[in-house]
Amino acid sequence: MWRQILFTGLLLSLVACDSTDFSVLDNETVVELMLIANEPVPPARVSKIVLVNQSSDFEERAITNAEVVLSTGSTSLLLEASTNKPGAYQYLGPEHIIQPGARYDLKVTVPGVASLITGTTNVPTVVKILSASPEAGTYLSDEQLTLIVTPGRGSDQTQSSFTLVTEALDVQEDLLVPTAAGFLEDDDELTLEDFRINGSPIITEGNFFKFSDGTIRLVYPWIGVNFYGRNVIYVNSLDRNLSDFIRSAELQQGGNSTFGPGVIPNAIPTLSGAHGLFGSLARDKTQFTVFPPRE
Amino acid sequence: MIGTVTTSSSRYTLSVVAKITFLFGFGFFVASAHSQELAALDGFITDASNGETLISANVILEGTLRGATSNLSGYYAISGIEPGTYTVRYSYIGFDTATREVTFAAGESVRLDVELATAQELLDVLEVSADRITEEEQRLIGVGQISVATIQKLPQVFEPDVFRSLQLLPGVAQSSDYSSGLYIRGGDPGQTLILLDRTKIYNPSHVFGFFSTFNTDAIKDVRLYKGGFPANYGGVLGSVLDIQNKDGNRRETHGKLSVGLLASRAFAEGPYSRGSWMVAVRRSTLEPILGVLQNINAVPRAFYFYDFNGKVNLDASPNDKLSLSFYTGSDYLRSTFTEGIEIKLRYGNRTVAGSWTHLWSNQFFSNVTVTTSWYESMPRATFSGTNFKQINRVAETSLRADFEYYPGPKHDLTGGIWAGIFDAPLTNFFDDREVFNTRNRVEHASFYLQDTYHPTENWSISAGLRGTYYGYGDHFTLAPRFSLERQLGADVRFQASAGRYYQFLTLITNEVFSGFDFWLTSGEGVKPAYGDQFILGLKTNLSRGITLDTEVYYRTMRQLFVLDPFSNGLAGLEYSELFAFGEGMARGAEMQLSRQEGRINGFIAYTLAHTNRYYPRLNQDAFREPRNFVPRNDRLHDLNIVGQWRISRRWELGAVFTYATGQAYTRPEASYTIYGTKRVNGFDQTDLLVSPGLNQARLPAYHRLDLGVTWTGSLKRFADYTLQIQVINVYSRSNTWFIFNEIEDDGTLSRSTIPQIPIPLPNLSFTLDF
Repeated sequence: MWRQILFTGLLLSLVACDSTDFSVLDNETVVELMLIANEPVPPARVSKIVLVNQSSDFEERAITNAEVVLSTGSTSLLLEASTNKPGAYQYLGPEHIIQPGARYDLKVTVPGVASLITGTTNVPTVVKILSASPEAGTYLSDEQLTLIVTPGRGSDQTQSSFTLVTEALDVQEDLLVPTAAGFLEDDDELTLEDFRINGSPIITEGNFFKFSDGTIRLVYPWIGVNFYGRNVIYVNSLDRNLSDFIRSAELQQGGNSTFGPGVIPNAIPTLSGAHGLFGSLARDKTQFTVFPPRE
Repeated sequence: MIGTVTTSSSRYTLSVVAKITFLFGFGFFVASAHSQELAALDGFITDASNGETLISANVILEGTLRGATSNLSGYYAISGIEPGTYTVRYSYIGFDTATREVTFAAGESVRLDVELATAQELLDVLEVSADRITEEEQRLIGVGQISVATIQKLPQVFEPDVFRSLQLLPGVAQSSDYSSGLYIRGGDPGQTLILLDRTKIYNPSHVFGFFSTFNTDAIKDVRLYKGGFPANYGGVLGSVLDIQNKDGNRRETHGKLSVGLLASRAFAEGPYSRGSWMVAVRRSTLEPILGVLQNINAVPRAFYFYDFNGKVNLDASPNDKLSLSFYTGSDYLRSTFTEGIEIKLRYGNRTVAGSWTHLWSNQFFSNVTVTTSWYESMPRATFSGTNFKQINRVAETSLRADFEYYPGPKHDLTGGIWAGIFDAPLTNFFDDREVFNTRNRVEHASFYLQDTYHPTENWSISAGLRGTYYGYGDHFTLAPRFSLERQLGADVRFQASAGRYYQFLTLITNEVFSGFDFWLTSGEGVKPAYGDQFILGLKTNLSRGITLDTEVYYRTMRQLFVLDPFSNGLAGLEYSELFAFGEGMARGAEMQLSRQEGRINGFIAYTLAHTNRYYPRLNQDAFREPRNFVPRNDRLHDLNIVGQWRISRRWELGAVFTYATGQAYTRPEASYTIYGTKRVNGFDQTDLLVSPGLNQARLPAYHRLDLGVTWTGSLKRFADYTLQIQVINVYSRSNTWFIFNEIEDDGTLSRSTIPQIPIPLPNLSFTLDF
């Protein structure tokens, strides 16, 4: 018996607890800047992260004295702090259009914060909808909107990552498709505005038929439509950062995850030294009119 | 960083064990030269009441320490016996010991098939001698066992379940009240090889993971190799669960009907002129309840599961036994939500195994088995006229040939081959168009050789080697295995084991819902995972038939590959881009104090353990540094107390108490919002949670008490009946399943507790045995 007890004690002593320690979150910085190919430089946002039990009001968390510099090649663009929107930084210099296919670097310096915040994005090349037909169709019919698209892609991507976004122009309750109408009826907190813009998860180029010239055929699924009537269809090609960011958000919400319940990974970082998003996209759009099915 | 065993030391281990294996092989050939003048004994050991072969029954030549244990076919063999007269003692738990006087002439081979009688009286006695336990308990290193009779008596949620019963053994953790998944010695469910009549089962679950797929009426033996398994098993890093179906009653036709709250069962077995047969059917009986609840939105419109086991045995000759066993089981679900949304899922397994056992001589036993295993999961969903569908299949056909050779008193040699074709097509359809298709069709072949050497009566040393060729990626692996056992006096045995293990498949699963499970393989750019295991054990027989088993283990897991959760779907990626790669380790100490017979019996199982993983892509802290993390199944303490009290011939009480350290979970400590994504993903703002690391926090400790009472009786000799009334979670412990985090509209982070079974849950079943 004593041998068993001694042996057991010896065995237990071999099983030590894991000494893993975890970093303590401090008031870390959050940066947001999303560039769109062939559009002017958008404003950036700089703030502090929201710790649990802290106010989530953006203006209270805004960092107003940061230095935000966006550069591409030999061009540096200083984004200046907005005087009327705390935490917002705008480019006020000569017009600069975000160049498709170009690399942009971001550098943010926050006084009192030792670490330099940096990020890089490779803007996808131009996305162009070469053809879109038909211009109108009956909901759930076989005749779906078919787009022929030149896929944009960042220089560091092996294939394009898309999101497809539908923006309804005729937002009326009696124009809701049945599934959306059912959701609106079941949930008192939803409003029509919640259905106006409808986005897809990320869909990679491999999901579509690819022609020998590199263009792809994209059949727009009916799941993207919330309203009958006129809809604007956006085809977004995301750079690697934006793709990682959107996928991280989906994963945290439990989308297509192999993580167990309650296991929540941090987002793939798109910046060094800060949380947030520094990414880019290229997009094109078309319009499609949806008719209700015949009774 | 995890993993203190470096690659070089692993290679050193491999080299040392390979050399030992070679020396053993050499020793075997030397020893076999002396076997000519010695006698031999062999035969089958069966249950006298029904003719079922008994697995792991013990045979001992009294006055010596020479003995043997029956194999999966109930066969035993002892060779190298000095001529003379011996008393041979046959024993098995729950059966009367049988003895036979046998006189052996020089060079004589004696075939002795023995039937053991069920010891009903044992159930009524209070004390069992320690000697009896000493003889009957083999208690191999790394092996956990729980009898089917115990499984059927334990209080359990709705149905007696093999996996949920195994979760009570030391070293086996459960993930939640809602899952029957086996998390063994720090491994995940995909690291356990599950065999039914030597056939792999690829999705052993019903009700999307709530129950295991095995009908306890059909099962004869459940054997769990938690680690350190011998060379005849392979293809997994962690453990092996080997389940044998009943052969069928060879004495009389017998039936059984059971009605339960969730499912009902029917079972029949009997003899025929040349052998026996067995069929067992189980089907859920939830339709009436679903019918009443149809107006509730979340209630499925249709749900059922069933399984069907069968086996036919043919005793072709005294030396030839043939069997054909089959299994089919399936789950089906159809749910509709808001108009325009419908989900359908069907998944299940089918297996067929044909087996031929032949005795070439009393020194050479062989078994050849041809198996096919087929698994399919086909989830379909329609959302606003857009269809989603996945076709996920596994089809494997294999041939196993195993032999056992007993050349002399000092060596037992086993070997064999296992070759097959594994085919796992996975196809995704979106909007009726195929968007992803991968097909891993792999030829694989393994061989193994293992020698067990008995240099003295107190020592037993085994060395084995398993080689595997895996066609996809042209991987060839060699896995040495080594174990030893030293008798330290009459009541104490010391055991040790070390080995290397390889795994070529990875199970892609979600702990919450097993209906979508699929398998991917190592291949181009994806090396097989491997790991080393080291185990020490001490098996002690205490007084009054009580045993105390202790084991400590350390294991590594390297080149682990899991589906990268951050990948944006599967389409358009190179095969290796589908995966995130990592490693892990596990260590622990297990103790089991058992009393297997007598009116009051049961066991106390305690595990002190730790496991972790390192996947640089999956876990980065707030400063973007890759970090170790503990999986949800990591438990520092895990205690199970299982007791049964036979009050009288009619009444029996059962109780199970479980305590475990709270599960690891991720506790976000901060959040942030990105505002400009409306025309990117459709959301006004995108909220992200930030935590110091994956699973850095602990849920409250888990504990639960289940009680049950069993009442047995007889219906005027027509049939025996059993009524079971059980209550799960007697004292309403609200154990936490997980914490749900949500960022509210005002930006604050709210946390909600999602409970496991929060209330006492009754269970009722009635069984007729005729």
